[in-house]
Amino acid sequence: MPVVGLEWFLVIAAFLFATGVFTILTRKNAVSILMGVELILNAANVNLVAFSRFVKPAATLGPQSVEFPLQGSAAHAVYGQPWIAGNVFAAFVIVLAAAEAAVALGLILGIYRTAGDVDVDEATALKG
Amino acid sequence: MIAALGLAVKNPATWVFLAFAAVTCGSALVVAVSRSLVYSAYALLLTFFGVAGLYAFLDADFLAAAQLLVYVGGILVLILFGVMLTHKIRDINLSNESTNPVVGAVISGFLFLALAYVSLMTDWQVVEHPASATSGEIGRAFVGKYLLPFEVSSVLLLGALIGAAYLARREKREA
Amino acid sequence: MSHGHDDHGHGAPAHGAAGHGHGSAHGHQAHAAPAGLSPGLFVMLGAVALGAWLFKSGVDGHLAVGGRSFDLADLFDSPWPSLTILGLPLLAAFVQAFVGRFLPRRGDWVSTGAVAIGLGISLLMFGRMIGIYDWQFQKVYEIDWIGLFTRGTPDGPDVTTFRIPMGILIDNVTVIMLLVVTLVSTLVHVFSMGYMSDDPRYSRFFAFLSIFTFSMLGLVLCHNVFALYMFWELVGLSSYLLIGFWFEKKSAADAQKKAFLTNRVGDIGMLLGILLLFHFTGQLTYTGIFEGVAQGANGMPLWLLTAAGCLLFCGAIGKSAQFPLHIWLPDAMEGPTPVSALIHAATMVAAGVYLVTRMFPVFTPDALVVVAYFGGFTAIFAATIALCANDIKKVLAYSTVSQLGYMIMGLGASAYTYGFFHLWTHAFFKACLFLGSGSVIHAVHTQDMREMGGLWKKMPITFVAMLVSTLAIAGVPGTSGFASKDGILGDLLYAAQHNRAFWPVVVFGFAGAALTAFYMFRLIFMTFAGEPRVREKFDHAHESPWVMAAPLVVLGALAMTSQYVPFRELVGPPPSAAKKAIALVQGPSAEPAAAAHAGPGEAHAAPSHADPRRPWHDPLEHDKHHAHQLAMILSIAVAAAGIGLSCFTYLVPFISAPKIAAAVPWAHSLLLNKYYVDEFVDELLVAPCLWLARFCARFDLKVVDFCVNAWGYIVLAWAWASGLFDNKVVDGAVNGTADVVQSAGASLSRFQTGRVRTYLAWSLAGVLVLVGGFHIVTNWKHFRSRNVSTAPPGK
Repeated sequence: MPVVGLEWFLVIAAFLFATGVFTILTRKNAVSILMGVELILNAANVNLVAFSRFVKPAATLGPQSVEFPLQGSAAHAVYGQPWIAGNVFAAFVIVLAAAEAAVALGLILGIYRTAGDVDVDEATALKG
Repeated sequence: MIAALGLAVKNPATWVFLAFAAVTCGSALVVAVSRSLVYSAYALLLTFFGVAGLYAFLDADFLAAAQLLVYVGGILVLILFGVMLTHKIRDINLSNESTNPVVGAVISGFLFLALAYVSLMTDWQVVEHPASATSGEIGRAFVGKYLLPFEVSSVLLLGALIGAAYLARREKREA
Repeated sequence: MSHGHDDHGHGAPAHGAAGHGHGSAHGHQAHAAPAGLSPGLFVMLGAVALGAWLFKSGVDGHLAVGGRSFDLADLFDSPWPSLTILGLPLLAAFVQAFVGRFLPRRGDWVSTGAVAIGLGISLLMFGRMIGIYDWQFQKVYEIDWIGLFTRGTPDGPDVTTFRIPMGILIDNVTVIMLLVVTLVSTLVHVFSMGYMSDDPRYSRFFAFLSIFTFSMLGLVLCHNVFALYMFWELVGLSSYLLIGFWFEKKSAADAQKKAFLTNRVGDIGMLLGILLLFHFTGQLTYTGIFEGVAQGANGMPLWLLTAAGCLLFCGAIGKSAQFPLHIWLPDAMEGPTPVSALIHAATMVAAGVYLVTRMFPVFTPDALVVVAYFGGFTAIFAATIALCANDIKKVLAYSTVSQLGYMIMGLGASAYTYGFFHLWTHAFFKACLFLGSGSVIHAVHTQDMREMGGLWKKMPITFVAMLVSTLAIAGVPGTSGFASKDGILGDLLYAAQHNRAFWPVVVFGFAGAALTAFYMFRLIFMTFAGEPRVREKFDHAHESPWVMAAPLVVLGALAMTSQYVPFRELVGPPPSAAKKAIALVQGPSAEPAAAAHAGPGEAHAAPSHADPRRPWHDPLEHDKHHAHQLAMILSIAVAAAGIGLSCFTYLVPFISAPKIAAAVPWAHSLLLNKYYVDEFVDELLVAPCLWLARFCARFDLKVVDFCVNAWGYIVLAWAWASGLFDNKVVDGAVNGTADVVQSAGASLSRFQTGRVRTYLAWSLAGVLVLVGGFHIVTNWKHFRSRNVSTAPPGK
């Protein structure tokens, strides 16, 4: 087992999440808000990996008898390790974060070019 | 919890973990409150490093590496480019003013308390895992059960790449 | 097509109808027939014959095509027929949205074809339902949409902690609703081909119609409240999109916003009701909730169950435009008229009635009384407003509100079968009336009835169809409306005879029936009878092309015939044990009252259980017979009175309406201004917010400043020696207070800034308050033991 328990990771993730929310809530600079979003994504990832590490995997991933199949066993060859799902999900989140950052920065550059500023409060051209 | 804490303190690995946690949380705080945008960006770098360390403590070796490669190597560089491209060089302070810090602090503070409360009060059904390297397993999952999402995410990345290039390219000057 | 006309919804230029492909006989002759023996007539007859053949095949249980026979016995044994009906409009919506513009005829055949195929399958299913003839028929197909598990005992099986099932429920109510939705939707699609033909956003209109059809079909097919809520919001969205279809008009854009926001108010209540039921039963499916409630719902107190019912009913209040949230529906008439017929008359607004029908077993007797009062009051309230309206669509809108009130009132009085029956009949005659009004508006380019008159000569088909539907809505014997409305009134009378609380509702019901007859015939007389009031509009009027007239004919025919469906044998309240449990909780003294409006099928359902194939019979039938006889006499009398009065006022000017209005000017202006409900809402909701902001500002200015000054003087006088020190400390505290108050005031006034960040902050704060409050309320007993279980209580 890891040196510390699940709760530690959850609390750290909660702290990251709260700081991310704080950043989004208080910043006017679009780049800053993007940083806040990245913090929140990281918090979610820490949670996912921690649950993947500590909590029993969902039974839907395979028969219950092969919760932790041995390396080289037939069950392992078919299902892999069911608990890896959390890690896989986190990997997908990282991919999505990369895509999101690229597109968001494209948008920010576009706004900067048209408005000359990246203050989100000033970007009101589409406001009804 | 308290007893576990007492046991853990004697383990030197715990101190390493605490150091990583402190780096993560402290730099995240800097990201949130720093008045300079560049400081925020560099603090975000530290946060990403810290989270990578946490992954290592969670035996998620692949993710720790991916965190360093993608976040630190990719996303952070993107963000730094964003900072530099959207500000003029002569803005030394790169103003990063914040609004409504009281409201934000109250809301995010309570959010943290609520999340921490749930984390600490829930009776988690923790189970023993056989510790093993995750890279192979993740690879197996990517080409097995999660093949479709894997391919879809690759298409998404391509789409994001094209979209970002399209959004960011310099507009054609019309005569 | 020019937009921005104020007086009529579809903004064709004044003489633009001449450009119609089908309008071959819009001449100035008096008897302009719609295109004579055009192909449209044959297409319509062929379609009706095809529909009848499909229905007959469904009843027989096999489909004979060219000598080969397909067995339909297992039509309900797979979810695919229903899912096809559901999926085709969604597919059509995507096709229309993305490539519709480039298709021939701008793609209207895609949407129309999709829903027409759905109609064909619905007719087969409807026929099969009649063929099976089992009032307890029910099929459920479900999958686990979301399922979470935790370990039970170390080696034991896992415990499901949380699951959201997704699936469809097919029973007689579903099949009937499927037919209503696909039939009215198909006819409206066909009508729109003519009505919208000049619109530049023609293909988008059909895409929206398809989205709506999909959402509405999903709403009636789904088997759990979670999906119900999703589709509930989706129909709200499509309603929003279609009301504001001509968004260039400010009135249309305002109306769509008003409709959406007003519905939100009701939907919050509905969501809370769903959450309450989920919290106590741990179930999301209808059957699961009913069983959970019947088994006592883990100690859910009766008053809370009543509250859950009332909260669910809030959703119906919003969607079915019941008082006080009815304000959006008349404004929604800004949308194109086919939309008014489909969404705001026949199907979506009936979703509230469907909700109460579906969730009927969770409504306690007390909740049903609340339901009945809301419905009854709305029925008469809206009817009085319709008396004075001059806009033909507004009259129909208030008439819709009133008729929905009838359905709700009927359900509240446990007239389960008749309430739902009225939904069925009303869908056809009201859709016919709306499409007829669309046809009239198309012809004369105005919505003001004072500019019409004498149109029966120009538009005979529209006139006959609308007259037939008006007879139905007025409750003239022999029409569908008579059968359903009379049934509701009879059951109401019966309920009132056993429970005095229902007497006011009965009075509302009968008075509303008289008013309905009066104002509907006023509409007919003002529009079609008498001499034309505005000569040039009359001269331009012409019968609509067949593509618009055919749906009118079909719907008019249905207005006369739709009462022959064996509703009383096929639609009974679900035999839930819920009502029994409630009667037990209330004790034997409450038994008669509970039985009176718990209605049939609960306490008396035991014989039916023995033989599920036996058609359902109302066990109280014998008792009710007397009440129904009386109700029939009364309702014929009030309908006759209403029609007669209308004749004497508007056909034969024997009574002068302006004189009556002049005699009671206050009543007239009250009705003209719709009882000032809109103004009242402004005063009640908007004004207090402004007042609060002003109060905060004044508090800051007067009280806090006064404190500052007072403190300053006191400190100066009292402590000369430590003045400097005191000044800093005290002023710091005081300024801090002022800052807090000021920033509170500022954040209050910043409530609606259009800044996403502010909204995020508010929604997060709301989530925190909700989660915290919920946690404290539900777990305060467990706080001492600190044993917070993740499983639902009682598991």
